[in-house]
Amino acid sequence: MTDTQAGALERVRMLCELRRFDEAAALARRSTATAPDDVDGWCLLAQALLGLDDDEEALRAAGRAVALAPDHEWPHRLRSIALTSLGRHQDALGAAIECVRCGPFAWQTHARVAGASSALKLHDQAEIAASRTLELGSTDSRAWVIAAGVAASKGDRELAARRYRRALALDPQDADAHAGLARTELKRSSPLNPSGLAAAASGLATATRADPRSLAHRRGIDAILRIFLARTAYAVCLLCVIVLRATAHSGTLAARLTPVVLLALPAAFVAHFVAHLDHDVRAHLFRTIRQGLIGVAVACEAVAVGVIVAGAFLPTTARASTVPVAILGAILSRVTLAVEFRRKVPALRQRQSRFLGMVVALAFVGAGALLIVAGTQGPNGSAATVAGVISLGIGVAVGLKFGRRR
Amino acid sequence: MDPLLQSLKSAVDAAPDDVPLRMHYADMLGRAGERDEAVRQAAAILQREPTHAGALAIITTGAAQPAPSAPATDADALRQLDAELADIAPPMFVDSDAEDSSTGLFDVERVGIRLADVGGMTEVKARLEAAVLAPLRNPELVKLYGKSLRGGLLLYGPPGCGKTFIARALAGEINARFISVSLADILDMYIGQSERNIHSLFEVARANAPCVVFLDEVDAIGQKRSQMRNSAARGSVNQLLTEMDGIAAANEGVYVLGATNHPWDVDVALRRPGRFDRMVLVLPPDEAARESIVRYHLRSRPIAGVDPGKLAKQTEGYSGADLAYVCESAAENALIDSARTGVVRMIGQADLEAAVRDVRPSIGPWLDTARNVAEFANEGGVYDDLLAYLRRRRK
Repeated sequence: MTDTQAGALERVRMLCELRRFDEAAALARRSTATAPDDVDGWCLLAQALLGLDDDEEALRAAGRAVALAPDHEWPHRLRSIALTSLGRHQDALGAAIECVRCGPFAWQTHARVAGASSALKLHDQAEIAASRTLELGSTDSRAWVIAAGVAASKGDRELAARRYRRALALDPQDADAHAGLARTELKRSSPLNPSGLAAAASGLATATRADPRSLAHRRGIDAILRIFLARTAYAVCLLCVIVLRATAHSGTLAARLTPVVLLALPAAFVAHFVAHLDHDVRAHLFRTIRQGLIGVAVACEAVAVGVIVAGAFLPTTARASTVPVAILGAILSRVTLAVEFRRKVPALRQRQSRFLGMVVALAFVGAGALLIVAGTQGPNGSAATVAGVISLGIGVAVGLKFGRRR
Repeated sequence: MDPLLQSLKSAVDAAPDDVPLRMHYADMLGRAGERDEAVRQAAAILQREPTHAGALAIITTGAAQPAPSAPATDADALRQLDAELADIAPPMFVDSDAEDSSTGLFDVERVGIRLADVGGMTEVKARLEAAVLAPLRNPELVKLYGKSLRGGLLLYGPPGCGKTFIARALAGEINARFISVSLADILDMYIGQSERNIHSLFEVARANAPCVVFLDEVDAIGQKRSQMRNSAARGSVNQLLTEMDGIAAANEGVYVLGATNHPWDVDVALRRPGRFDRMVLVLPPDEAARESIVRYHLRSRPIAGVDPGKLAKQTEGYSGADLAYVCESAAENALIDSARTGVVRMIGQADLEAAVRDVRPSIGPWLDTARNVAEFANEGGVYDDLLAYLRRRRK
């Protein structure tokens, strides 16, 4: 390798470290054009392309490196990462195993096997590789993060949280460890426990601070805030229904005060959540609820709560008419939130559309089945059977359309 | 004069092209304390042999000693010497506005632009006036309040918004020489060479004071050490810290300007007092600036019926680079059209408006990261400006 070539590759390495992948890829391409037999050049090109999410090209570059140095672990590892990104998990595992063969004492190779096995849901194999990763790389926070990911994917949240904490002890600035721990703790906590939600949001805020370029952590915070707002809306809806069923038509003092006392439940939920939030996330929450449709939804909830409180002081006849207003406000709030979330989060829109599509499909299939059964028994059998078959066909078609994995 | 020196002078006069003889004479003059004459003789040698090491050494040593009129800095001494030798030796430093001088790795240049040449951006100019220009114009007040003129200024903001241009204009405004440096000028694969490059940069700047050292993409040169695995790069950050602190030499007259799109990636130590202790946010150009930029990019193109003001109104949030691309794109449309029809036509408002529709502002990804930082990592209100801008933008 000439000095110029070595200098160029050193610069590519540095650019990758700075996450300036486009410049790194351009320089690595020039380098591989002038020195096509240099394995490091192809590996660095693959690394830069992986950073640019150009997985196909990265796979090609890693393949060239493998052809040049079949006994080096790095090319196999890069090839395995590219294959995982392309969804070819079985091939990725094959490449990862090759990688371990070439570098049995590097923790990164075992970590790759763990990651590839985990993607294939081969949890036992993944755990064995994760343990080996930790034996060899116990002082590297990345090793602990990968092992924690393996534990989380097999559902062992306790172990995952322990491993994330260990990673943070080694590197308190590891953004992935902060985010992983926050998500794990969120799954471990009860849905009715607001401090679990708040702790998860605060953990993701720390991850955002450590790695501001990652949008995933911020989206996580927004998702938690959405969960909080939705749960609050449900709580208010429930409260209104209870008031309507139990106390709306009674004029006793107990009946008047019960809704106000019950209001303490959602109020405690909100207060507990807000009090446990990280300062910046709290500010973000207040900014969020002042914006657009979310502001409207919060206003509707406030109206519902206000009407319930006011009802306690109104005559019985007037109180009965306030309850529907409160229910309407609470429902409107939840619907507005749903509309806003669908607008803001394309993935959510996709999931909800899929859910609705499947409900419609099932309805058609059910109706079709009933019509067919009715057709075999009733007087206008043939018409009902035809309608049933059409309905069944529509149901199956809709089901296939929305049920397909995207 | 010493008889030996007198006789050597006569010999040199008789054989002016005898370089070893003249060198000996210069050496003797130096030892006798006749520094000026020694330097003159060394300059005469350099006219004959420009790379003569002995003569260069005499000139360098002579320049480093205090001159009779006691100039304030080494750089002043060098300039005085330059002036004295103007008629017998080529100048060491060129003071012309148009000419650049190359000093090894780094080009030292005089810039001809001033802040008045920067269109719009009144807020940024006001910040620069307060942070840099006012103290420089009022050194007695600075002294009175015991403030130092040292320290650096970090320009940050989305890419393509004119940070480099503003840095050059600032250098022009304070009539200082300008050295622009990027990662490629500093980074070297050999261990220790990057540090040496940084040291040389500051040595050149000190020798050329008043001088603005402009570190472009300072996040790359001074990246957070915690994010680095490459130990060579860590050394560069340490060296930069040392040079900015000026432990080895006084940095008076050396103004360090940094520019970065990602100030959050800059090592915290670099943002401490005396280093990049002031930060100025350079935002996408305002309407007036956008109009100037559009005019600038269309100035040498065949245009007809173009309304730059209207375009400026339609391009809120576009960076300078985006606007350049809009003009480029419009020109390309007109060119393709002319080639297709065989009739050469001017670039019109419609071409530009079509280009505006096609070219989307490129600062979106930067804004996403900036929002994360301003909302979740605004420790001590460092990014209050940015937060205020993001709030204004949302409205």
